Amino acid sequence: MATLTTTTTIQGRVNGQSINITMVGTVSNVDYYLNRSGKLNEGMAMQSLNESTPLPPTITNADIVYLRADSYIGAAQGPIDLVITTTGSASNGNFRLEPGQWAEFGRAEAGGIFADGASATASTLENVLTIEQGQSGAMPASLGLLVVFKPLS
Amino acid sequence: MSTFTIKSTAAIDGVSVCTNAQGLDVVSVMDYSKEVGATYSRLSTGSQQPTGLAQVFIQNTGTETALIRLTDEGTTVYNFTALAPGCHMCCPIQTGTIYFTDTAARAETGTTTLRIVALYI
Repeated sequence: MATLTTTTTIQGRVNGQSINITMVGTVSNVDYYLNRSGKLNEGMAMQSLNESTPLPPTITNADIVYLRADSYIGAAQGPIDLVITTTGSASNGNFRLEPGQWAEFGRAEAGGIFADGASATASTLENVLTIEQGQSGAMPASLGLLVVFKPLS
Repeated sequence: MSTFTIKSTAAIDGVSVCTNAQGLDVVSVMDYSKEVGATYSRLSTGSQQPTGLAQVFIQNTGTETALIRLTDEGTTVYNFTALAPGCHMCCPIQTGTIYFTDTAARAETGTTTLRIVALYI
C-alpha cells in the first residue's frame, strides 16, 4: 500500500505583514492511482473513469478517496471546465478552473465523494461515475487529473 | 493589494506526480481555526468582506471527517465534498460561470477542528 502526500504553500505579504502558510496532508492505504494529463484544443474534452463505457482503468474492488483536477498555466492557455457526475447521475458538478487553479475533493467516511443540490442541508455524498475535463473559451487548455483509490472496506 | 504565490504538490510514496502554482492579487487574508459539530457552520462568506470572492483552503486538524459545502452567489447551487482527518483541500472558485461565495462545514460524526485560510481577491 502506498501513501499520498499533498503539500500546499501560501506565501505573500499584505499590509506590511508577511504570510507563510504550509499545509501537509496524507492519505494512507492507497492501492491505485490514475495520473492523467492532456492538452485540449478548442472544442475538445477528455473523459475518465466512465463506468458506462469501459475506459481503463475499470476497478471493482476500490473506490476513489481523493480527486484533484489541475488547470496549468502556459502560453495562450485558457480555462478548463471540470464536470463530475455521480452514479445514477444523481449529482452533476460543474467547475471552471482558470490556468494555475486546481480543485480537490475527498471521500466521506460513510462513502461517496461528491453531491450537489438545491438544499443547504443535503450531504449524502455519492460515488463518481464520470470525470470530464473540457476546454473552455477560444484557447487551448492544459490540464491534469489525479484520482487516488483505496480498497473497499 | 499584493501578489501571493500558492504552490501545491501531490506525491505517491515520495515521488511527485502533480505540481501546480498560481499567483493571486490578494487584498486580505483570513487564517483561523474552528471546531464544527453536527450542523453546517459557515467558514467564509463573501458578504461584508473586502471583496466578495476568496480562494479558500481548508485543513482538517481534528479527528473526524468533515463535510464541506460550497454555495454559489445566487444561493441556488450547493456542492458537497468531504475532508478526512489529516487532509487539506483547495476549494474551487467557480461553478460554471457563477462564483462560490460561501463555504461551510460540519463534522460527519461528532466534532472536528478545521483550519481555514481564505485569500480575498
